[in-house]
Amino acid sequence: MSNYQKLTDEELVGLVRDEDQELYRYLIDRYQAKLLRYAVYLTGDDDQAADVVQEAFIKAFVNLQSFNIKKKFSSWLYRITHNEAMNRLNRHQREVPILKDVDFASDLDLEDDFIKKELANLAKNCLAQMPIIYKEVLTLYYLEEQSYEAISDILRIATGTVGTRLNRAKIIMKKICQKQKK
Amino acid sequence: MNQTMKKSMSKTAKRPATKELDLSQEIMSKVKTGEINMKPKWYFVLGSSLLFFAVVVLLVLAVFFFNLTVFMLRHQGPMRLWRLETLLSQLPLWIPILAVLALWGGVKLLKKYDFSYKKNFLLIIVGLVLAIILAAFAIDSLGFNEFWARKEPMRRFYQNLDPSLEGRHLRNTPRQGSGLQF
Repeated sequence: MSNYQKLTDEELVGLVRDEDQELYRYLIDRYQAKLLRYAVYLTGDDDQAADVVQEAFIKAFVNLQSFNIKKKFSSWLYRITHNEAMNRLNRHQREVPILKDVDFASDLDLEDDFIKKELANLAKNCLAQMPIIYKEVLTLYYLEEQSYEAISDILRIATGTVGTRLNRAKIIMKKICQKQKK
Repeated sequence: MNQTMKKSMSKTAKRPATKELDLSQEIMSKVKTGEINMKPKWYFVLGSSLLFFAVVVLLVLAVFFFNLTVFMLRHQGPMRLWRLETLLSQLPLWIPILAVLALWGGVKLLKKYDFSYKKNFLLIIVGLVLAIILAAFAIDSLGFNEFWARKEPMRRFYQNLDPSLEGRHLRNTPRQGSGLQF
């Protein structure tokens, strides 16, 4: 088991494709939490996010032979999740996504610091009000810690556009947050 | 209670949906029962081959129909170009429309390739359009239309386009001193 855990995603994909489909479990375990968090930010709903991620994992498995092992598996998987989430959002376009019980930065021990918690809540609310094209770049860059290159592959936009959107997103976020403070 | 445990407990409390969900169990059971199956590699090879073939066909068609438009305009004589009414009544409009549609389809399909977002796609499109128009002019200047209009099976097509072509003597070289001799 530990041997498989040492393998890179791409090596694991190769094994799943050619040797043992059961190993796909390791890929699911590696990405389930990350993708769920990303899907929750996009959809604003835990249940919908779970459906999105499950569907994404199934689609990834079905289309695993189309994945180019020379590329990053995580970007490919995020791309599928992103598409799935967008499809769902388009289907429920009139429903405004509201972030309910979402951690802003799960690795931080926010309970210890009330101010940090307040700030996180404020940021969470601001993020929820942002247009999706800015929300997704902000989430991928700051919360999922993806590189410009990876975001470019996930959203299929030029790396320059990633930078532009990120800058605009920060400005928009600042404006929304300032409005909320007042 | 150590720090890690504290963190994991706080996460469990805040994000039950994320923590309780065991997607790997659910998905792997579907894999085991054969409910979801990996698509074979040939399916994707066939898909990408068809995509490439469709792009080539559409771009060749775009060149052909642009070339035909140039030919028809030239065939009507230089002065006709200045009389819009005559031009519109005599030039079969479906030819330029098909040229534009083929080009549009080609560009749409090109967007499926990764370079469409990694490189400056607008520049690629402008280059492509220029190349197609240049190729169309080159084909017409080299006298391919005159050649095809005299040879089966294209002869019928050109005669249907303009019945006056049948009795008319088509020059071998459209531009003096240049062009192919057939």
